[in-house]
Amino acid sequence: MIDRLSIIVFGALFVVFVFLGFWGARWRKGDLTKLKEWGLAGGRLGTFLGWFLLGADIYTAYTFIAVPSSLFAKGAIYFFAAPYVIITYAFAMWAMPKFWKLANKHGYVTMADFVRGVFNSRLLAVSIALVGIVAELPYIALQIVGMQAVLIALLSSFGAVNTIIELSLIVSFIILAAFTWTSGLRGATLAGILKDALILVSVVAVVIAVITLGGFHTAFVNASATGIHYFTLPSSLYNAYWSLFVFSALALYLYPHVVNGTLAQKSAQSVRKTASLLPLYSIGLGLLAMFGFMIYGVPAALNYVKSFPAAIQGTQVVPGLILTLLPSWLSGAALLGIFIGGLVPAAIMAIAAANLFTRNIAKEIKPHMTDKQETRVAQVFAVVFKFLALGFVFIIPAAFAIQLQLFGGILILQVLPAFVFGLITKNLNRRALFLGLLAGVVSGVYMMEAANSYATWTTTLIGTGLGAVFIGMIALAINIIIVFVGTWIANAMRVTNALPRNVDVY
Amino acid sequence: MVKAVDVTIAVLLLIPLVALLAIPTYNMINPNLGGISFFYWYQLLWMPLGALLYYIAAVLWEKKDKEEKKAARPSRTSRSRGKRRR
Repeated sequence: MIDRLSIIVFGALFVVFVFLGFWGARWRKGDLTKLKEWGLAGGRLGTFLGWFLLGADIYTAYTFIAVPSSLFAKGAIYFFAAPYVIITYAFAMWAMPKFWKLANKHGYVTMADFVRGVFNSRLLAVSIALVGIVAELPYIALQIVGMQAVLIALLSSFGAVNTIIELSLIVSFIILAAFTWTSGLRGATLAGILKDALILVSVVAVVIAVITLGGFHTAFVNASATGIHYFTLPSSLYNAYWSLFVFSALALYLYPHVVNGTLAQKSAQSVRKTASLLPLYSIGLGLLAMFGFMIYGVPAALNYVKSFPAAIQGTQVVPGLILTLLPSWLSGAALLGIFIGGLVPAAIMAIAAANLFTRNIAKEIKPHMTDKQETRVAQVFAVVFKFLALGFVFIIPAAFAIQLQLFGGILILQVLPAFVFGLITKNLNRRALFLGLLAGVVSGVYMMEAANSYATWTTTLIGTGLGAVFIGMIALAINIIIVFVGTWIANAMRVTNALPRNVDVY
Repeated sequence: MVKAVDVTIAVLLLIPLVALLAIPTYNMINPNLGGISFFYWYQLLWMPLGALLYYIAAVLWEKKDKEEKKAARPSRTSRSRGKRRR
């Protein structure tokens, strides 16, 4: 239910959130004019806080808007998000502590720093930074779509027009920009704890409400009647399912904001322990994904969702269930959880993109920046990236924003060879790595276009001899083949990465 | 040399992957859980199970790293010429 009380609770908790965000600057005070302090919280987070910071990367608008919305529209195939957020942590437990140790030893702040260190290539480092930033922008845009969905749910029942919704979106963005500026990653971590608590409580409340209503049986009957495969996977989609979850799992820890979250922790062991416990966090994601068909068991919520234009129906699935099933004070709290669930990750992502920009692009142009100047550039660009993403949202439709984010996953996957192989060996040719990255990105874009018949992007799957599979997997395969063949040719021609032989990169 | 602890860690990390890759074994409606098909609750179940196996792996790994560090710690004479800073 939504009434004035919901708005009051929403507003009051938003004030608490803003307070936490700004207070973060004082918490475990460090010198915030240093990039490592502002952008990596000083690198002092232990297992517990690291868990919350990285958890903030899971409970994002991807979880409560993109996944339920896609599951609602296309059925069980989109439950790939559940196995994805389990096995990704096995990969993380292997790769990230290695990476943390090397970063700590050599002072790397970004993945591009690391790649430059191992393969001695500025071109490769700059390209990886660019891919990281480009992949991050639609992820930020998706967060804004989530925030917008909450504002629509909260305000439209009072007859608020679009202008008010857009205005409140912009106001909350200015607040976000201000607190990112002042407290950096610390503020985001603290605010993340509040957000997770709110979301978890409301998810559990909704599931309990649906169970007590006997909603799952109703949902089963009603959803089956739609003809969409909600309850099991058609066997034609097996290859699509595993390729989506395996390759999304490999992509998650390549995102700049997740790399940042890793480097913000205090030791390699705490990186590994944090990752090992993160599948617990995924339970919330799994339950939220199921909202996509649960809604068929709650006719009032389904009617609510259907009252919106088709393009944004999916984004209203989770708010719809919250509004119809929870008492008004709790729906206010739940909606705020989802709202800052978009806001906090947007801050973390903008910080990460800004770190990358500063370290690996701005520094290439202007190499002799002081610590203070470096942090200032990062602060300015964190704001620029956020408003760029905000611009995205006003231009492109919500359903498309979700696909754009999935496309970001295909892009970021292309940095995998340089990163993962770089953890094991420095004996790959840097030009081959660059060409592989380029081919992966170009083929990824081409396959997206081809799979969607050169129209609006609605799928990241492409038909092959094995049925539909995830485009990211094929683009990565092309990338890796080029890296190996290229390195083989370079070795045959005795071309090296021009690293002095005695340089110790590990 | 591959040690038993390395194998144990690898197996612990791979069990959830194998269990989730075997799609035909869990892609069914029954046994359902209060109306939720097996397909969903089986995968949900792997979240706490996965966390448990991964956590055990993390603890074993930490122990292993500590022991390796101990074993690698050079004696007093070799330390003086080593490059270790800590």
